[in-house]
Amino acid sequence: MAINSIDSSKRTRLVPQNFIDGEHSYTTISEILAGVVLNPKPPTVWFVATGLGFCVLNVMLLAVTYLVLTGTGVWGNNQPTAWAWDIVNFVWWIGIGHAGTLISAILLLMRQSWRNSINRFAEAMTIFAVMCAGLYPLLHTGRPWLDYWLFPYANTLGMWPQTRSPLEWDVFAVSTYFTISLLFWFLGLIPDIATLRDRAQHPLVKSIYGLASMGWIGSAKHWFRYEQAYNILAGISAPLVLSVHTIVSFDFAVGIVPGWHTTIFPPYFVAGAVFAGFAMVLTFGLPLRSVYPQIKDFITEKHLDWMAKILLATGLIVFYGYILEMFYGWYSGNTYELALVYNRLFGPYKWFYYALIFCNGIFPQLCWVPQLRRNVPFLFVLSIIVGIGMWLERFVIIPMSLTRDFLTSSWGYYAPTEWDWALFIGTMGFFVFLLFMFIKVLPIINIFEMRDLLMKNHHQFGHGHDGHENSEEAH
Amino acid sequence: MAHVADESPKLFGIVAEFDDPDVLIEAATKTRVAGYRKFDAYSPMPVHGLAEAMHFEDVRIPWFRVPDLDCLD
Repeated sequence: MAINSIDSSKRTRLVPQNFIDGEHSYTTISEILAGVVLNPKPPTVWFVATGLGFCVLNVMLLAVTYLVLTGTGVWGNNQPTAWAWDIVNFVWWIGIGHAGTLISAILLLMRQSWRNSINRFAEAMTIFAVMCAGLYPLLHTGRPWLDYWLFPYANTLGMWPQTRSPLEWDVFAVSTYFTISLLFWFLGLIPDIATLRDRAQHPLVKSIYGLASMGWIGSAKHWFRYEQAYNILAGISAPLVLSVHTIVSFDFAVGIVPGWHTTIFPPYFVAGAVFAGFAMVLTFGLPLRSVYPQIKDFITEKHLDWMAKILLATGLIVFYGYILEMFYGWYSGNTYELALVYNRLFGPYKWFYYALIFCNGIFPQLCWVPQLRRNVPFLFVLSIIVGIGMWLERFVIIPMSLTRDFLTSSWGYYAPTEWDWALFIGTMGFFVFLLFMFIKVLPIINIFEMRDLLMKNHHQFGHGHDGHENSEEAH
Repeated sequence: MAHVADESPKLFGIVAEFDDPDVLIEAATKTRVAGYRKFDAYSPMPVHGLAEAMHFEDVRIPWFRVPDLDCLD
């Protein structure tokens, strides 16, 4: 006993905090969160956003159709810039997905209960972002109908994928990531789908949710199995947060192109992915809070504050990466690396580089101000700027290095075509459309985890009090 | 169930509702200690310790299994 007491006194204790504002009961939580889905009249904004997303989604379908019928020549890619917007956008979208996995897996294993109200839609964003990302390399192969050749299946052609290529590692990294994210998301949804089943009025809706809930009745045995499975999947997902973007960074780091061949890439890409992902969670979460004001009690200002802090922390890691890239260029003493540093600062794309430093390095430093971290308009602007900055980062890495590689005779200038634009903007429409359909069909906030949080609040702060005030005292 | 009169319906089971998860765990423990085996506990969120209180601790999932009809007993 004595040993235990010494250990526990030395251990850092988490200060219990309340992440639900206002007065709530189990019933009001279910009513509010299931109400967002089951309300027969969604707000007008929902129709506008879904309609807009659908229109832009059609631009993507048009771009894909034209591309498949014509060939990848419709893009601006050409020697020496064989990789351009397709890979920029692939890396950008994949990065956006990472916040979802970090929130759902790593923060779960660390028992961070503030994740519970943001994990559901962050995971949905992960899945949709990976879908957008996956489209690019699949189309870039030029013959997407032969993409199954990427998998090592027994075939009579005697042809196997090149396993020494990081591009092949990507195939496995991204497909594993997608599968695990989808399973994890669905597993977390089962108890909530059962809540929707119990509350739905229309018999057809009831039976669809009934099928999807897989017979969930909330028995203690179910919860026991559920938690086993959920924790195992979290354990599998946690390394994926680090591995997927590490492997994506290998696409560059394994190459010998100046500006790509650096050891800093894996950690700097992972930090950048989490940075971009949290920015997207804010870009999407903040409008969601104003469209559905009833969820503000669950995604509180404290959540916004903490997400801004994570943005600041990962932003600093990314900024450190930019500084080290400059340092490596100088310290290597290699002519080509030095030329690249010069090219970044004074070359034809110099404004992209300066914009990148502003968006990702300088502007996020405003998050040091506590008032700004809770200021919704500021956070929204910040999230957009970070999103642009992370896109610029990939642009600076990819075309900037490729247009200025070893032979002066093969230098070039890259500019996207209208089909590059159409596909990029189209994938955004695809993303927005899927997200708004998701809001209407499934609960955006984990209902049972909110009940669980309420139960823990009752234990920590007592019944019948406004928990928020108590939590402020507990600081 | 000999004491139940013929005209009243046969006793199928007993349901009790609890306001607090701790009370539910206590009730589950007492039910188990009293020797009951065919019972279940339902909650709208995971209640840690409830499965253990019911002695549902086998962590293995069998390879083959007929549908579990225990909950209908």
